[in-house]
Amino acid sequence: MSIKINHLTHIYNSGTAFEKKALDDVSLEIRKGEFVGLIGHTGSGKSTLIQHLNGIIPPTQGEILLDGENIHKDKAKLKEVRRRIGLAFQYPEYQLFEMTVYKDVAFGPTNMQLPKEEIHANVVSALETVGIAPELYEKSPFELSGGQKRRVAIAGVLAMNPEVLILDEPTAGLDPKGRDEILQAIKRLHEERGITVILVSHSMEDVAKLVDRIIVMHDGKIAMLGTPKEVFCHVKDLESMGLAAPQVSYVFTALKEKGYEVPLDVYTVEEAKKVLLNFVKQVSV
Amino acid sequence: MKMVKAEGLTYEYIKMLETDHGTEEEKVSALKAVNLEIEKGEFVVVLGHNGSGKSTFAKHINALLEPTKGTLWIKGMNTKNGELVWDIRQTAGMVFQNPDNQLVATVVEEDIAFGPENMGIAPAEIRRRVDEALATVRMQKYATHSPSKLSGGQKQRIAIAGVLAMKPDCIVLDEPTAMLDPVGRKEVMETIERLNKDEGITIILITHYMDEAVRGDRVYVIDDGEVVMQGRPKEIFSQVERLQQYGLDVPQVTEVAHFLRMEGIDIPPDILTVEEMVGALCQLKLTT
Repeated sequence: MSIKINHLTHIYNSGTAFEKKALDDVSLEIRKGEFVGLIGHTGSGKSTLIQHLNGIIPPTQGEILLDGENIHKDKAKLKEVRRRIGLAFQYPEYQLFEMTVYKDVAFGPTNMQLPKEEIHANVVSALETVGIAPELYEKSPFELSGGQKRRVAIAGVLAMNPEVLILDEPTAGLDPKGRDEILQAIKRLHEERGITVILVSHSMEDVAKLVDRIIVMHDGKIAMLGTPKEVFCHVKDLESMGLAAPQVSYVFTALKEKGYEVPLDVYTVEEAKKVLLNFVKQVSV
Repeated sequence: MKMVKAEGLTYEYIKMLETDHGTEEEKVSALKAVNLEIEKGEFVVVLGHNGSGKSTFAKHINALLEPTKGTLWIKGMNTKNGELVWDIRQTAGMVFQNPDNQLVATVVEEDIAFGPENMGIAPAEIRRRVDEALATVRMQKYATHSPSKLSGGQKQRIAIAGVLAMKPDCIVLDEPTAMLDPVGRKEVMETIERLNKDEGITIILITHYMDEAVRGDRVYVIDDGEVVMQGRPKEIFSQVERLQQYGLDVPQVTEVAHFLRMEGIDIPPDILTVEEMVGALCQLKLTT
């Protein structure tokens, strides 16, 4: 399923003293199976954008096309849109409420009135994908660690078999171990299920590790759009927008400024190791 | 006198477990005989994965929790002495992760005045303290704004100002930047460093961010309720494998430098910042 956004504008509190243009003529296409990172500082419009994608808020102007069809054309179909485009909010663990992990994940598919066997298959497969072991299925979700809770909450969205999964800050507030577990789960679900993933994050390190393409939002507009290599070599521009590149990128920018011949598009630790090993082994001329 | 001194600090609680044979009790030790000393004016960082006991430790400093065994003194005051609770809380202020949970008033300056008002301080003195605290966190412009309209970083600075207005000697910050974007994180870290350097306030910072931890004078690593490592940031972060074993990260440049050393490159083991990394690499190029 492809998502196409045409000239999307959203104005909050239109006509009042608090009028604010949160999205300003945004056009964008996200292809089936893509893994996209969405970055931008607080207030840049990224949350407003993702809330449009599954029809929570309607556009002031412009349209969102899902496989060529405007999602607001038929209001009765919005429910279907929300199933196809799953959204895991920030701190999704606050939305856990059931007695057991299993029941919590089953809540979505049960409401979809799927046959019992299919609900069971969906729940088990979603929990497997996020790496929650069967021993935990009958536990209360509130007994789990922060990272586990969050993975259960994400499984609840996955159990509805969405074609697109949007994750808003999935690693915020977690420790390094919890963060790595979530990121691995996201990577796995993208690879195994082939679904489109949109990852909203402040962490450039996380984004750098995972995504195919990065959308940088600034002042309600798309400021940059490209592969991590293309985006992270613009360290100065990112900083002027209140963002940062992964720490290793700065090493290469600084070496370049000192006159050394180094590539500027290195942004992961693994790549930096290789490039710098070559760099120091080279006899300088 | 030490700002914070812990001797055999232990905290245990009973956890109820639902089993097939009814409810069973399990004793959990969140802190196990922790010994440590923090000097006045120090900037100390506490690291540890979730559930390691670091927040439990923080709550003891503020006398929110009382030790099961052992003793904790804040500027010589025993936290077990109920009569000293208010003096302890005024000496060691606390800032939590979520700024929305700590702001109580509808106007910024009223929020900051809340602490001193409760302490029964004279109005003129409260006014003076509020203005001073706002200036210290560089938020004077927002004195009459509503906290709800501020960014996360600004809210967190107001929470810090609220603690400052009580004139503490020490501030404990429990993951103050975890919910902030890069700009907010930078604002809060700069504020914390200024409080420490310019105002001489003792800082105890609990964090998961290693780039913040390297800015402290000293680092404690807590794992499973015990202090397992302590030292200057350079001493701690040069032990890459050990940190990873405790479920912690090292800064990206430290990880790359560690790899280069393993490959036989003669690079210092204690590289923590981009500048140090670039300096070391340039040095290598000059000598080869």
